[in-house]
Amino acid sequence: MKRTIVVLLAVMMLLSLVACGEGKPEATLESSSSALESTEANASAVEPVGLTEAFAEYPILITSGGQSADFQMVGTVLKKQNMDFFSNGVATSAEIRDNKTLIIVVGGSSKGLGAAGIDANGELARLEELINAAKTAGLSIIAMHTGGVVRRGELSDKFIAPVFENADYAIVVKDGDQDGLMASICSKSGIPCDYIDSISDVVTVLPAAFK
Amino acid sequence: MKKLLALLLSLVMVFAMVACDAKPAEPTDPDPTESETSEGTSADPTQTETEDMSPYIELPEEFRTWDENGMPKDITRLGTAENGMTVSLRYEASKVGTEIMEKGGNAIDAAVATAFAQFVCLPEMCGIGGGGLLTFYSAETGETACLTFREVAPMFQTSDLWVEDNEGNIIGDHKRFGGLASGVPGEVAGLCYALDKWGTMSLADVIQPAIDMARQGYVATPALISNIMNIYDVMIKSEELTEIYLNEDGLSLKPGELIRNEYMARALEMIRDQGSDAVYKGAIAEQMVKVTQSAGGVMTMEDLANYKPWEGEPVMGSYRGYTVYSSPSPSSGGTFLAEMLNIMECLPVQEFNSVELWHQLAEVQKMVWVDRAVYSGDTRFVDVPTKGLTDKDYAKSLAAKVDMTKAQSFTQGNPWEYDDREHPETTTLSVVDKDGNMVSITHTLNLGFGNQVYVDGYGFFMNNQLDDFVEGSGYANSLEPGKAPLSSMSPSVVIDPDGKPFMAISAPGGIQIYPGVAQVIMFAIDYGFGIDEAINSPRVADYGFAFFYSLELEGSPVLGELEKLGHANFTVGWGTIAVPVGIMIMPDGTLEGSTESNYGVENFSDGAAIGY
Repeated sequence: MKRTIVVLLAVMMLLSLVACGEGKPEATLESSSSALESTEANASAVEPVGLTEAFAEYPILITSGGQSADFQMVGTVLKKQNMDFFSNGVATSAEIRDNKTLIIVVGGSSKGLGAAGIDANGELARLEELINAAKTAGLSIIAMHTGGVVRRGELSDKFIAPVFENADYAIVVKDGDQDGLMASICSKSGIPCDYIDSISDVVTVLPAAFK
Repeated sequence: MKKLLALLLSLVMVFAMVACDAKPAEPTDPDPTESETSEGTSADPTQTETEDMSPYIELPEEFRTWDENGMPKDITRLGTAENGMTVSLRYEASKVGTEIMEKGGNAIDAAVATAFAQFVCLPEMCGIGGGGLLTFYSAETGETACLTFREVAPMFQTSDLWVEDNEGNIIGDHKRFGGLASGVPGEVAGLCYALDKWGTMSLADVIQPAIDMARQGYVATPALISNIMNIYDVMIKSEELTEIYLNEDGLSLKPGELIRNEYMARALEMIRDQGSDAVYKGAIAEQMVKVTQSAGGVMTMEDLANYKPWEGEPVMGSYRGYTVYSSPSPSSGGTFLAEMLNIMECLPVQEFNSVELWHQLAEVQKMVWVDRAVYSGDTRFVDVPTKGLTDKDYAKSLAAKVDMTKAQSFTQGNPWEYDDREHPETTTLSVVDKDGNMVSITHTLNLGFGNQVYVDGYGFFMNNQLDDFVEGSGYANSLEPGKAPLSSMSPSVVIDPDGKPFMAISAPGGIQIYPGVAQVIMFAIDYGFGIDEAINSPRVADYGFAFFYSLELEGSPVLGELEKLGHANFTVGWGTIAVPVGIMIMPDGTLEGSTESNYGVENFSDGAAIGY
């Protein structure tokens, strides 16, 4: 019951944001609420447009967006595919080095944030600094949400728009996007997005992104 | 596939041994899957797959803390019984305890069986590599005993080994993780001691359900999966851990999927056959020393061989005519539970969930906290004014400091003035049997999966209990070789004013344990709450540096009122201020048990009260 109330409050907050009206998303982290605003109305109608053309290059830097273990699991999947990458859950601009592609796996975990010694706002600030530096350095950015429906909620959702709005490509486990939030962001920003059924399926689409 | 083959081979071994009426051979090699080499086995995969789907104890739908989408959902917590009851933070463990009582065992037999079962299905919380505390009330004698089997510092361990950098941070976080964080475990020695002294059944009888559960399996829950994934980087580096706790692709399990730990089954069988010597002198001991030293620790075979649990005089407190017995040093829990109740007894009973109640509790807890910081430690090494801290007059002197118009900061009182210096001095479970015997145990590895050092071949993790010492020397709770670190664990029993058993209560939750346990006891007595309402009501915990509150209070106007009184740094408490489990003996003799629903802010607890 208690949790139901918390969830309801979170949903009400989200709905209240939606009710504020539609704004044009911009490619800055500050625009995250505007993306949320536009999500609900046509969520079910939005079908993501998948990737048609390779654009990314090695080497790859993988980081987390929210400190869940999802980014590490993506690493496990890529290793099995013999894809080379450098992984750092708390990467900053200093880790960009000669990497050409930045993969951010979104998923919030309060314990993960605690273990990293950071709170949600600190994580958002880290991501903003990293994304801005990556853009400046000309890296391609791939956003992923691979945790499915259990990795949605107040905490995880904080990181979705700031990452997805700035991506060149997105990969999403479909049952985590039942409200169409991520598909909507991608659609509005012209970002190709592929739905997959499970995290294991990352390797069915990701290699095609690399030249 | 490996898992299936290992299971099949294990089953064949077991059947062969049963057929010969022989004890299983003692393993000399810690890899029970060594013989599993043939990918092309002719075993019938269909048959094996069917067996794979059946855990040792089926988790009924009404006790599943997730929905069809795998999303966390709450369950009913209240259980009732006429004869005996076990409550713990896993349905399966509670079931094991109650089945032991149904077979004729007493509360100690059930508690020990439950604790061993928790090794298996709460592997992140407790285990062979951990330690704990036990409080036992004997209905026959009316006496209460407390047993400490908490970890102690190895003889070659000093705080100097935690090397600090120029900014005072411990290099490599070695106080929390790795070999230098691990104390000498006491868990198995303690459980065997309790069973031998107060139990009626054999070790083989009470440990067998845990062995069977480890081998046949139990289901993953959202709470456990979350804890597994918190150390995914550790899991993925170990073939054994990957095999046990991840799916065949090395990824997260889903709720309801089976977890089997053949390695732990083998370790538990060795304990069954050799007693605690298996852990303190034999092959398991050698492996614990090996992995601990490989991880930078200094624990030796001599440390393990010398480990002994010890009995201590329970801390006795009282609250409005009810008598509370709880753990003595090295836990601070019992002492500060009693001090807190003593002070609250001097203050008026406020309306439940009122600003006045939470203000009073916050002020009292801040005073208790400063006493804890100064006057707590292992009384085998330092003087602690236990009698003074639990003295009623001392409590009155502190209660007089509470100002209902404002929040204050407190410095410590002087309990030595009230002490005659004679020094008479984290998962959990509670059990009550048909005779009225009561047991509460709280046991832990400290952090989830302890120091993250896995004991290869035996399926368990070492503790990081040395992190509970303060940094530096010269404090009551400074590390010394052989010393046990301070704790807040408070497994307790409560006797009513007529001298009859009233409640068995315990909780995990770090420093929030004794405030949580105290408030459950208070709410039952002051407001006449049943055990379910007493446990699943809001609570607060204030230490001066933060005001923790239960999820139930999120968004409540009382927080705003408390802020006006000067309270600050509001934070949602872990597990909504501890995660109590408890059993209340009702006036008609029936038993009511319950557990806290919340488990952090992301999941529900898997706790269940099971009786017969």
